[in-house]
Amino acid sequence: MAVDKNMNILIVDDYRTMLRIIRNLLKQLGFNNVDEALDGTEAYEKIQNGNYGLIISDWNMEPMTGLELLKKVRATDTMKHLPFIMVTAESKTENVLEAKKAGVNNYIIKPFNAETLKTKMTAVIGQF
Amino acid sequence: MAQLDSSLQKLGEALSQKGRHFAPEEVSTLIQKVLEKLESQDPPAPTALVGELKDLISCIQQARSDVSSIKAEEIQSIHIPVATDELDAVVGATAEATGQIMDACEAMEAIDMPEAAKEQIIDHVTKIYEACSFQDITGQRITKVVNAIKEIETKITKILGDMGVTMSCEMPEEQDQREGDEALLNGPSLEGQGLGQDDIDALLASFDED
Repeated sequence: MAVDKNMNILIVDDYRTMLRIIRNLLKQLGFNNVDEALDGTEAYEKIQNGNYGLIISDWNMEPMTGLELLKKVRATDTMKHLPFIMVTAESKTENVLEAKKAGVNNYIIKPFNAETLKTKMTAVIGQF
Repeated sequence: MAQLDSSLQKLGEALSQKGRHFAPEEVSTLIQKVLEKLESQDPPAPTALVGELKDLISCIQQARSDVSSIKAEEIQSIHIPVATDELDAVVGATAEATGQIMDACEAMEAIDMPEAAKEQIIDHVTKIYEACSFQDITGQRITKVVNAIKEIETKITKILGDMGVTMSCEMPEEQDQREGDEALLNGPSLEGQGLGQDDIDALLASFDED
């Protein structure tokens, strides 16, 4: 099934610069319906009230981290199958394992390039 | 000798009380009392033992004097706030610069131009966006440095507390002891603390009017 580029994507990061970078890269990939949240708590609220096809989230945020957000999303029936990509500077093996255990669909290390974002998104939502 | 035994026993009992924390001053006082007993007893106590105890008291007093002289309260009230303020300023400045870079990139992307040129522009702009993520990484690294500084502050405060050095509640005034040209080297000012360009232009212009 072809990917709907009109899908809503939620990007979550406590650094506004990073939100802007990801938004611009997504725009170049053809995804213009991008919403933002500055931490896991705000993101979860938006997910509850919104209709997102993909979540792209940082890990290190307060008061709710990206990992905590992921676990909460996977524990909520109405959103547990939401595609979730972690984009983070956390690069230790145990981080990746924890994220995988929590149900992450893909994991991108910062700094990353546009090609990597596209490749990882394709692996999760399909070819576009 | 019986008096010495009794004094040493009391010292040992005092020091071995569980959970009791002894400030260096208390230890010094206890040792001083033992010393007085030793010096007053007949026959005289071994001189080597008396000498060792005197050295121990002297050592404790010197350590306390050295710690007091380094003005440790300045660590909390001046040096650490300066360090964290400067690091915050770094994060702020890099965020602002990155924002300006991205404003320019977005403006370039919006320019109406032939498709071939547009593709090249987008290609280069994408590389700029990728590079701009440095600001996120530097921000995280700086946060780690700030946390490390705060940890150092906590440990220094504890060590000083254990040494019996009390921090003054008054903020000590920072005293710049540099002279001559060296005193003019202060680096960039924090927000609101230095002259802006307009202020400098006005100041220079005021010399021309004289």
